[in-house]
Amino acid sequence: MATVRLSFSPAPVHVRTARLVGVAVARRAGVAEELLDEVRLAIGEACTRAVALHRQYGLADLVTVEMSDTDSYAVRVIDHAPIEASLGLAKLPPDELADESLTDEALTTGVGFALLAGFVDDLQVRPVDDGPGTEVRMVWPVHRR
Amino acid sequence: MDFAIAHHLEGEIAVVEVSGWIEISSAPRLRDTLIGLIDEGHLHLVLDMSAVVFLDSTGLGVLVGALKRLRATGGTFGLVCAKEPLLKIFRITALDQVFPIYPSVETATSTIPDERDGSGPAA
Repeated sequence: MATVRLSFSPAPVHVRTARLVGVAVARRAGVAEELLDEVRLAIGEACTRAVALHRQYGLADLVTVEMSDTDSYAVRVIDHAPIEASLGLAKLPPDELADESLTDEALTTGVGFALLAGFVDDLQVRPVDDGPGTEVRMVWPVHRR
Repeated sequence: MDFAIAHHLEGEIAVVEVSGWIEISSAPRLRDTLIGLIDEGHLHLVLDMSAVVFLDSTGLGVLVGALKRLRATGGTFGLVCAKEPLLKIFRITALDQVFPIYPSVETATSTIPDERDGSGPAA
């Protein structure tokens, strides 16, 4: 088992770093090459969501990304925003996407979740065990060489 | 290549060429350019995404925001995108049902006058 853990302050510029590390670990873990674009996008979306929540709530706490490759490649992205921030997490139907009353934040959140759900077959969103926050857990299969 | 954006006019249509990564850290520059053009009075925009290598939800949010502004003023907003990974993003989010998406700038700029008149189909 190998685990890589990365924590970063909630600044947009660090999301790219998290994506780069996430894809590098995925490649080393044996995730199929054709899945790496989806891994890159999904990790980016989960981190973008976490950064947006921390900024929305004025939280300076670090966002954590934990990657492990026990039997599969599992990525956990952990934020510390109040749990109610995640209650409305849902995929928006197409007729609501261009709804004039929808805020930019709600739109981006809805689209972001649609991308996560669309690209990750094994996706869980759950409260963290200690304190406020949410964990987005994504799993991809690996092929050992 | 991180992110670059430029635009030129083809008649009444402002063609915006964007390249590189459209993501949380670059999306504000895309938003500023699109909103700036709309505020200058350009009603018909085409965004050429042929050289875009990555697009996330913040970028999609900017595109929808620009579309809403243009629709409110009777304008049009077409996207040029032929790369399958990006097209898949539009399909997954159902935004392919919201935006007219064209395979080339030439197709977009020749179709938009018809759309504007209400006589032409969106892609």
